Amino acid sequence: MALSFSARLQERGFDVAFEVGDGERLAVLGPNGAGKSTLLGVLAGTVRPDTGRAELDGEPLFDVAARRWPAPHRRRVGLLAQDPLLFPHLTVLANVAFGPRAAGVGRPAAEQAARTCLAAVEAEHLAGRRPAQLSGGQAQRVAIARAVATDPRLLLLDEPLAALDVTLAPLVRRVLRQVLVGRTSVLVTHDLLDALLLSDRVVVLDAGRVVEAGPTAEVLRHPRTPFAARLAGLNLLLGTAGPAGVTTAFGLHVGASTAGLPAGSPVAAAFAPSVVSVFVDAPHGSPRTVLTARVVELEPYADEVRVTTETTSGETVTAAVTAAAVGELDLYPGRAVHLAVKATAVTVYPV
Amino acid sequence: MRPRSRVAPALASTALLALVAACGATPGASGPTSSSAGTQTLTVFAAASLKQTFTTLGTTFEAAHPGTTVTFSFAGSSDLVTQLQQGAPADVFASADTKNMQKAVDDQLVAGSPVDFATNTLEIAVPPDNPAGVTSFADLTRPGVKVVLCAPQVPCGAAAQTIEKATNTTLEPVSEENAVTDVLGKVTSGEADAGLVYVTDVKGAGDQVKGIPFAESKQAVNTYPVAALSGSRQGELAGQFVRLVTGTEGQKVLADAGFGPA
Amino acid sequence: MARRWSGVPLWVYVPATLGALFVVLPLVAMATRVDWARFGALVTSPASLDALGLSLRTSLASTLLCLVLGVPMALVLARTAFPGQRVVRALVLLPLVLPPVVGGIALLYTFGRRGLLGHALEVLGLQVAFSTTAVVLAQTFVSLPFLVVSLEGTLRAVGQRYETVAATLGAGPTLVLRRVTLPLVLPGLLSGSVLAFARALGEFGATLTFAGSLQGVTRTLPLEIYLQRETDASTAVALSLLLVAVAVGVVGLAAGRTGRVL
Repeated sequence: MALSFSARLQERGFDVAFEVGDGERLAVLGPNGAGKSTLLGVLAGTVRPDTGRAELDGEPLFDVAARRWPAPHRRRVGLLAQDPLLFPHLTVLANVAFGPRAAGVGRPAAEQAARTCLAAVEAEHLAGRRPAQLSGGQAQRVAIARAVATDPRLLLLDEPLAALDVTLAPLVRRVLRQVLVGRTSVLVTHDLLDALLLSDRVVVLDAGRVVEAGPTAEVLRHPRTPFAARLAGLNLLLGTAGPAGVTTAFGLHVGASTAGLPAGSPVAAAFAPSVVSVFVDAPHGSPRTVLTARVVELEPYADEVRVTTETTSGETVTAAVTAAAVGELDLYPGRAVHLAVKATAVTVYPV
Repeated sequence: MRPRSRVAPALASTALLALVAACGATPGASGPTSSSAGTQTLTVFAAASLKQTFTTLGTTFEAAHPGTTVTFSFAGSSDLVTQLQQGAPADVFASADTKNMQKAVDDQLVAGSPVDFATNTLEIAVPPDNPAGVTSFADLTRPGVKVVLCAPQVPCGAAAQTIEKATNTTLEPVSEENAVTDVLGKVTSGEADAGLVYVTDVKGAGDQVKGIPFAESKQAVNTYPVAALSGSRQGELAGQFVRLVTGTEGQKVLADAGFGPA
Repeated sequence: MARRWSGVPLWVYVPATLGALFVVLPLVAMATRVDWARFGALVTSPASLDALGLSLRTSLASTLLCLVLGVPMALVLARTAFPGQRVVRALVLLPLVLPPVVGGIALLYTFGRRGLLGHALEVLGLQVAFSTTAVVLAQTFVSLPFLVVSLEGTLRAVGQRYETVAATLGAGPTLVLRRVTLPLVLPGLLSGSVLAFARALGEFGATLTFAGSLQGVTRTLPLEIYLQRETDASTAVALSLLLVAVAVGVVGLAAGRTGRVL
């Protein structure tokens, strides 16, 4: 079920086109308001674009110019939202059997299919319960079963794990990973792990346009947009290649190996926060880039602290330091600091 | 915050007082007591059917008694008696029947004895185009003629019932209304082919209905009594109003409206 | 039971209590006037039983009619957008603020013999005026907005997300309505129906104006109470209490079903 998609919606400044291969899992990333919900709405049939066309497995899914705009229930496009949205008045089994029943399958066969789907999400024992009696993770697993019970040609996932407690997410993520095998799907997410584990390819949307696209691992290793870099947890500086580093548009220079890249060509320099050292007094010697900056924000992150700074040239650079270091260095927002970045820890690639 | 929390309940109770004051200001409450020097108010409780005639007479009375204002409360006679029994202050009571006046007499609400001042009889009211071609009381029993009456519980209905019994006829009304106005409404809108109402009601409705007098109506003559009330603080003035109603001038106004002599 | 902090200022309890008393006290006062020795006999007289039976039957019929017409109306108002929708909503809700008598007059000019549709209905052999159908129409006219408002609110509160999911599962609009939307808004549907039923039960003005008043045909309980009040106050009071009891019973039943009062 390969998908090709293009649509424009003037009112929302939306103009997006992409393709998804048969059985390929696509992740859609982007800041709030980038057009991710619009994209899902157009595919599901709840948001009608001004122009646009989509083909699923060679058949038109919709074609606005040809006045072909099937209602959501005629598309066989499944939707899994952030909230499970299980019908509260139906049992778990009846919820999962809802799709097959709507397709005209008899009750016994529909319930049999529902049990199979529940088993696939490790929720068979919940069949007789009411949605109100389920935990968040259980409810979302049932919702997954319900979404795949109709065997949709395309499965849309709208931040399916965002509403779950961190302790519950792993099981649901694992279940989802199994279910998505071989299934053409479009996943909207803000989560690095979801993108890594539940997608083969990503597109990054910003302000209604595709700004970056590529295989998931590649995009997250070598991000080209600030959003992808932030999601990947990397510092990203865009600039031009020089003999011994990268110079940004603001004039900031970061030392790095630029072997093989023509001088003056547009490149990205990416480096992890953990390779950025923070000093109060300027450090001396060593082949390091030293930047002067001001602390903007301190944020605990796992067992360390992320220090977001703004360099004097106006770039944002994040450093990871230990909690103890925050105390020793007396870091606080507004504090002037020096940042050191080892040249060998900076990856440079063309953009 | 401390001072404000004391203001709020004060505001609430003020609002409540205002409400009570507003509710207390019913027309009856301030009725019969003469107000400021030189002016006085006479409150008259009169049957609804007397609205036109008594309003005219009120103007006459005010002209003859400078500084006097006459206020009326027009309603069903039984409503008015109930109000009087509950202590509504009034100076004069004019009832559309003797039965309700008797209630007032029994409860010693009346000063002196009531005087009958008018009579009223029923008439057939039909829409101007008289679609069912009704010309007589007997026509009302014709099948297919939609007749609307007052319910036997109200005076106009009781009168109709009396006529039915006396003439040994049975009317089959499509509706038994609570008031003459409801009967007239059904006739003027053309829903009903005919209704039985008082002569005065037909006259009052003007061109909207046509009245058809019928001889059988003599079987039920409604008598209107009027009396000054014992609770009045201006008995003299109340007596003068009663005399106006029963005198030559009052009788002429009533006769013009279709009332018969008492 | 643990007492939760309410955050309500203490003085609020004073007007709140006064408000509750304002509603409850008149009912208590009425109950004290009931002639309990004769209560059973008064409410089981043929006229009373006819009125009660008619009220229950017509209120039930009008509630069903409200459901048939009101559910689609609420759906269209809550789920769709069309030019002039606000105007349409305002017009549909008009009977809420309209004096019932005005509603009755409007119905008369629509369904009456000389009304807009009256002639067409007559050709079809349907005569609405003075029939039980007229009572049901009058009740439906005044109670429909209650159902529509209540249901539209619930529909908006529930939102469209469940419906979207159901559609992506392949369910067509009718199936979604039947299997998802209606079950989800059942509490609102129930409370709306109860409101409509209660409003129909109490309907007076429009019925009196439009349908007339005849025992067993158009004289519902409120009309019977109003009529009895003319002659027999004790029956009126007894029937009033009966009406209150029926209304409380219906509301209580619904509260028990949905676990909340409307």
